[in-house]
Amino acid sequence: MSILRARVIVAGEPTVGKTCLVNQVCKQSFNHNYMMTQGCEYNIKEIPLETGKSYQRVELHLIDIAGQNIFKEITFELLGKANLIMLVYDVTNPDTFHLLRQWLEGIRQQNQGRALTGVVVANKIDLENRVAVGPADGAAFAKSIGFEFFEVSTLQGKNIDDPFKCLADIFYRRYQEKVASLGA
Amino acid sequence: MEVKCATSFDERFDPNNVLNKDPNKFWITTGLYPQEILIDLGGTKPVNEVKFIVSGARKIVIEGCKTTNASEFKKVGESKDLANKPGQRQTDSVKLSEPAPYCLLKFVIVDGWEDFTSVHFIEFV
Ligand SMILES: Nc1nc2c(ncn2[C@@H]2O[C@H](COP(=O)(O)OP(=O)(O)OP(=O)(O)O)[C@@H](O)[C@H]2O)c(=O)[nH]1
Ligand SMILES: [Mg+2]
Repeated sequence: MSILRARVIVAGEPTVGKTCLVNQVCKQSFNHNYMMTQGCEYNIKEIPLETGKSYQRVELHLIDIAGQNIFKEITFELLGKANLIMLVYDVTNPDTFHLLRQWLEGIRQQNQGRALTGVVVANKIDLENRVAVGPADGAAFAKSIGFEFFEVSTLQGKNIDDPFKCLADIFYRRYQEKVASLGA
Repeated sequence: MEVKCATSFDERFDPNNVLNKDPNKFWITTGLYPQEILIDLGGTKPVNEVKFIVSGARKIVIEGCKTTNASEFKKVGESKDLANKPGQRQTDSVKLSEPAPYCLLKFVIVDGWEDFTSVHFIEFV
């Protein structure tokens, strides 16, 4: 049995629901009140993989980064040593969508020389009447940066496991590719 | 000489492969840095330099211990950033700042260019 471990940077503007999403997936708890993250929060999500013979799992080490500007100086360092990225926006707030490019740029700067990939997550799809960024735009952006796209409602628990499962699958595939490239 | 422990384990890739000259036998890390491999030199042996063949690594640190008591490790050498060569082997070495007889040596992969680092061969001269 082997355990693969990945450092996942969870980034995006304040109040998009990063901390709620991570807590819902890791601890099955949802907070209706906004509790701003200060610096970062650290959680581990274990994802079992069905890989035939041997039991394998991926541990996603989730670095949930504060979105608030006042923490930029502290959080910049934390963006480094990334294996995978989760970019989150709020479908009712177009600014949170457009600023994802900037988050990605910051993460790239801290990870020069590394091949990075990940997922884009559109959160709060339960607020149907207030949707301001449609799924087509989200999907097009994700495609343009080579990421996978997911629509979720953390509040309703809808689709929330999918982006994490996708990250685990990507990481497992990368491990297999690395091993294969070594001629084993 | 043998590997005492390693921080990643996949049963297909024995950590002792790093002491085997066959470059097709290797040990591989399974994610996150730092990662390390602890080697028992099988007695006290003078070491000036550590040569290695790896892939995906960015920076290597060598820690040495002059007794068999593994609590007394000290950093004794450090590489610069290794060349970033995706999909290729990196052949490099670290000269020890304190060449001396050691019992135990740790090969520490402080950081990687890739998600996973493979270690094909480590040699002490
Ligand atoms: N309606 C709705 N509200 C949500 C959803 N997910 C999160 N929220 C609310 O959004 C607010 C902000 O959530 P957080 O998870 O704290 O936001 P954050 O992205 O971590 O913010 P920072 O830590 O400041 O970067 C909270 O009041 C949540 O209750 C959702 O899917 N639907
Ligand atoms: Mg937060």
